[in-house]
Amino acid sequence: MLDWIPHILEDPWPLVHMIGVIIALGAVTATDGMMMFLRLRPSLSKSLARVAPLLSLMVWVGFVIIAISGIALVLRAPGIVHVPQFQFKVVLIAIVLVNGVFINVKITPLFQEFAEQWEWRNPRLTRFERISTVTGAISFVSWWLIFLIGWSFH
Amino acid sequence: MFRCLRCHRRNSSLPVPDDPLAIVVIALGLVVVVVGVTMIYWIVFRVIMAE
Repeated sequence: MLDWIPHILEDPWPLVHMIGVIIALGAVTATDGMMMFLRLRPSLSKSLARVAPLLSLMVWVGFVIIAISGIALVLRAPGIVHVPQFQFKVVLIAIVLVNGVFINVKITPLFQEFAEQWEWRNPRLTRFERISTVTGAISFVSWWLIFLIGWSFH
Repeated sequence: MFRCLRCHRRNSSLPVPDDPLAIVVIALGLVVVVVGVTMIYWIVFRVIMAE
């Protein structure tokens, strides 16, 4: 029944990589679901603005776990870098990294600022909503594509 | 095949790949680790603890 344990201890990196994916992808999906829910219930903006940094933290923790285990996996089989799907995945990771920094540095602080006045519509808030929708969509689509491409290797 | 960073001998104990593309991918991974740890620090100490 427990014969899978020595197998994992012998080669823990694929499992560690998957744990990172679960943490990061779960937090990304939760964040985007939360932002969609905000359109239906704008009164929840203050509560969601308090949760947003925690979800962002989870995404980065997952991303670091994925990167460390990913480096270990590439070192074990460096030939994978010549597979076109893997190269596409690496490009998506670079996009997710830049987009993630932008979300953290610009979008999340602005969301906390606007959360207080979410129900009073103004041009600045409309512009912020547009930018955050684009960055959220880039994040959601890229993360899920990275997962699906990674899954296709199995 | 691995190559030592110092003596450039193959099959060394230092796991540095011979392939430039693999080095680029590993470098991107290291950038993700550095940026990720910086972001974690920033969120924990500047956003969550500052409230």
